Amino acid sequence: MSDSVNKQLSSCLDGELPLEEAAMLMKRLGRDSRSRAALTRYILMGEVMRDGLVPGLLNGNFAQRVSEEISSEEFPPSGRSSWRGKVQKLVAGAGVAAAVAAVALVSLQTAIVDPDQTGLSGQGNVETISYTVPEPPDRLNSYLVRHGTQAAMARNSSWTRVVTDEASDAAERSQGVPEIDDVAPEPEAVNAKKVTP
Amino acid sequence: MAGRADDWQLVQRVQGGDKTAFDVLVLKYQHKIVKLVMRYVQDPSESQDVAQEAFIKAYKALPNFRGESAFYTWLYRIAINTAKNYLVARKRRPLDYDVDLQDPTQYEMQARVSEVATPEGHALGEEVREVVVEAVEKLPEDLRMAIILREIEGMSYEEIAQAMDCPVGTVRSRIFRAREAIDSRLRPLLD
Repeated sequence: MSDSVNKQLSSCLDGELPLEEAAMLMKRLGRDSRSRAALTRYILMGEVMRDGLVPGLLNGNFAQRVSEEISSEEFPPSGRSSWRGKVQKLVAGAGVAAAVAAVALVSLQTAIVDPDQTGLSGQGNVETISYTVPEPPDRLNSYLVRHGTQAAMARNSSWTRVVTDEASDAAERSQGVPEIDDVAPEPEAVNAKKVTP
Repeated sequence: MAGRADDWQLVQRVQGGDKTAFDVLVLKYQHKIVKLVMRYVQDPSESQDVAQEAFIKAYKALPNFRGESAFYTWLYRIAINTAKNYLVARKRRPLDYDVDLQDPTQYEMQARVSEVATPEGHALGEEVREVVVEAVEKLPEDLRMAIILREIEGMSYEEIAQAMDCPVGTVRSRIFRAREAIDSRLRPLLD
């Protein structure tokens, strides 16, 4: 193993190696056990100098075990690909909001008390207290209705998309097509404009 | 500072699918993490298992790591949580004292673990210590200063260059030569 590789290892360990060289070095480390051994010793001497050595790790089995465990792991999808989960959460939140809005709307509408329906209006000396809860302003009312409708539509849309995606994923898996999680979703508006000949 | 930048580079490589970069992170932090876990799980063998689990959890969670804290601080928290969960699962009460979650370096300074290792491992550990300490003592002054400023003080090459009044390239070379000199004594012991 050349001095230049060891010099790169030394710089890499200290975070002083340029990115492109670090990339090459990582590739080398993946296939060159001597380089890995040298890096391990460099790390070890640093731990000794800082009085941080754990003798039980000197046989190198620990790092090897972790490496083996990881090699059997499929690397999890990156954070960028979780857009579907995020959208579902947003839609679920909107659904809850819509449900709350619907309940509020129904409550407000039924809260207008009709004395005849309460059975209290004609009862002797019982003083009837008649009151009316004011109806929500038109603007609020229309907002609640619109919000509830849109949320419901979004939920349907999302559900359809999830079912479609899952079916599509299953079909792709059966065909051995790798999952592509980083691909951004195609805007629905574009789909809507497609004209079938 | 330099360590953080270096770790971030490695983390980004892992996030790009390079598992070797994670191997480097494991090599780099295994001693610290096992030592940390030993504070909770006092059995050395169990500590290694828990530390291993912590590393694997970190690997799985790495796609969500955005570098808002240093990688080691993040890993440190995962390790502590893993150790605590392990003790709870084993229905063992975690130790009363706690470590400062926000400051790993403070913890490192506070106390050293009374390491319990196998007799063979302990003997080898002592031998390694002696060899490294002796090798550092025998280094020429400029090499010794450079490696101490780097490994013990944690200074970047730029900072060492200013402290030693020499170019960064010279610092790089001195640190490398110091490591090679120590390694020439250490390698026969470990091979």
